[in-house]
Amino acid sequence: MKPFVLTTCVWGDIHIDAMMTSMVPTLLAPGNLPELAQHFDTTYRISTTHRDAALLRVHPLIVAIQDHVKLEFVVATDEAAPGHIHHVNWYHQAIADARAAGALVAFLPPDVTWSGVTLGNMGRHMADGRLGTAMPYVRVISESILPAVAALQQSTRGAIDISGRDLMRLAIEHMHPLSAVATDASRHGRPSLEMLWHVRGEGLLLRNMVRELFSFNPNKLDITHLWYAGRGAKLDDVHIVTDSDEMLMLSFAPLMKDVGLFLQDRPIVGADTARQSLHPLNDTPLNPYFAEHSIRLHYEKITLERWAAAEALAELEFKQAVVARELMQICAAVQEFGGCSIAIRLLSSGLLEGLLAERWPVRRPSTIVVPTDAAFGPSPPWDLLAEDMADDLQRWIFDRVFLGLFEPAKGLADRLAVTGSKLHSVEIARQLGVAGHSVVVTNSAAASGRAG
Amino acid sequence: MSSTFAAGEEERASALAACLMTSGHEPRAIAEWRRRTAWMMHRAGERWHELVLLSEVMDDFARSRGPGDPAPAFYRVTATMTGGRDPLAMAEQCYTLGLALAPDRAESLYNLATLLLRRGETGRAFAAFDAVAHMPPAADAQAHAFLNANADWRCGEILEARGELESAAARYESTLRTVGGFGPDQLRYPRLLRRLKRHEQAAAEYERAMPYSHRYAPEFVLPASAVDFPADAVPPGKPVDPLAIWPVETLPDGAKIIFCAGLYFRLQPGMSPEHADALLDLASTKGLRRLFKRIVRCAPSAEALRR
Repeated sequence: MKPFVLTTCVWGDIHIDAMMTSMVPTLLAPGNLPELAQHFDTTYRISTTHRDAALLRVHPLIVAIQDHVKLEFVVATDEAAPGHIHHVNWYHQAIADARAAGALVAFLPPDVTWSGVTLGNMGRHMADGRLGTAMPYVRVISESILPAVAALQQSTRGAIDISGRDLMRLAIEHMHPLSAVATDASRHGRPSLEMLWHVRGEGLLLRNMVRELFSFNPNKLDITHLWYAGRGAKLDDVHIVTDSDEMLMLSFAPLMKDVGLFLQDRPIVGADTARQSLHPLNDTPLNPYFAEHSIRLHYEKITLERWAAAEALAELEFKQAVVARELMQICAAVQEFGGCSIAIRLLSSGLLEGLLAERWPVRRPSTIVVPTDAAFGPSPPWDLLAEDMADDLQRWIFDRVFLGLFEPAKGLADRLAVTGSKLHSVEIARQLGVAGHSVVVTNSAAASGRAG
Repeated sequence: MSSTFAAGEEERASALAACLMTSGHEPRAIAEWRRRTAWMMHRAGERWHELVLLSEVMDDFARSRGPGDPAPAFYRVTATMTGGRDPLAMAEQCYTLGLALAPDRAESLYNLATLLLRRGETGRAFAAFDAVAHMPPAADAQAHAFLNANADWRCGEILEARGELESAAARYESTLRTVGGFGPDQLRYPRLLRRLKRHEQAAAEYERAMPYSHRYAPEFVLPASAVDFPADAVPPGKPVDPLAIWPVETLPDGAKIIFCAGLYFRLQPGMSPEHADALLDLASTKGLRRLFKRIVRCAPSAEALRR
């Protein structure tokens, strides 16, 4: 059987308590660790301190784990309270060791609860040849969820087997403000890669620009510093869970965590998630692929009409996000080239006022024409920024967007823009490939009937 | 333990200072105590202030619940923390008391102003933000707090709402000159410029708003040396009534050390901490003197009282 390493990095009473009250009991549900161990040669690797290793070794549930898998302790420090950087380094060391052993890897954070089929379903996808899986999770208040899960354990005295729907109901009850602030109801926001929409009485719809991998093959998939699928990853490499019945995790956070990050009176919009996704630590080749997926987190049977309404809203907002991401990349690339500030400013204005998403050729490779500053002559069209000129600004931009990539041999003379316009006297200064589109910088580009 | 906020926090602060004087401490020590206690009031206010923000988030979430959805556990958790007290009122009172002790504390004035905005007291809020925009922040304020710039921005928002658009634009411009990127809020400025028909400038500002940046809430960015409640006196991380009385330890001779409002008190053997609650009942100087005969000493640190 193929080797599989499950890895946890943990230290300190708070996290050990969460691990043994919640994570390990739900890990021992029949559809989780025991199911995974049927199909893989599985090792559970715990990186911790000397003190905590001694505590864990004798815990009955840790002993019970060994009925299913090999157990390995990595005592990585003598410090009782190592710094946070150890957490990252220990996980990366686990990846390196798994890679050397030809093993698959999955992260098991200590302060979480799993639904009762999560690992089993994850294993199926990895056995089917996927190189990684990405699972949804919801942040919940640790002060309240732990007693609730502890109460479940008292009735079982061992494994806790929670369905995805019951877990999602717990998520709604114990929702942490860090997740609640990302919903469509919130007047506030925070830096976020995700947005959530309420589906009353049934759950939440999730869209995100990227997600960390839950499991992956480190020999076939490059992993970034924050455990995203990295360079070279292809669309079908990663299974993205789209229904919480399949896999779900609740991630614990103390109530007062990260309050300083909240953005007051500024709910999250698509462009915000786009910017966040372009941060170097979050920017991966699969971001556009993640952004396409609607993920249903539900505690009831799904009523299609209710979800369709939320999905339509989410699609509108996330189209804004995807378009924003592409245009931000295009503007950044053209800025590097220089000499096109007028066009960049017009594009930026149109984008940030939400004028472009409806017509932008998402997932259709296109040619975007960007005039140089010289092409505008002495009178750049700043009046396009007037409040009553939104349609004109939109038209100006789309007069310079052509479906299909640029072919130098054919040029642009006979092509029609998405508005039906043609460009006159196109003198090409430079051609770039950005975000799946061709960006053509021109020294002259008057559209039919328009200056500039 | 209980406390009440009577009117006249300055009088209260002076009376507590009088305790130190009666205890034999010199003016420099009293000034240091006032500085420490003002920071502790700020810190107490900030803890309640965080709850204000989180409550707003969860209120919005709760309103969108479906019928039959479980009530958010958030309210059970915070009820235990607050003991039925209103976080906004507590935060406001903490900042006010801190300002009575240290009127030049720009951080407390900014935070109070954000609460005044929540109450709809826009005029008072503007005056406070305007003052903060010109006050020096703490000497060791963290760079990303940008207290003055944030205060300027807040003034701009209020001016814009009032229709004073040119003045608002000037405030936004001043802020962005200092901070560079201002997160998603930055979009306000080019939108205002469009309204002012300053189209070319608006276009430039839209371009500036494209890349990622973050605006930290200065309310929750403390200066490096901001004094927190001593861990031996007050549990870390949770909201706290700064005028509550916290037992610290009992000495071998039966005397008790308690902590209240930034000061440690040593109570004579046999005296209950609740007796010291009378410190808060500052009806008259005579009453204070009578009370103080029963207290051996007070000091800014427990160490001084153990001797």
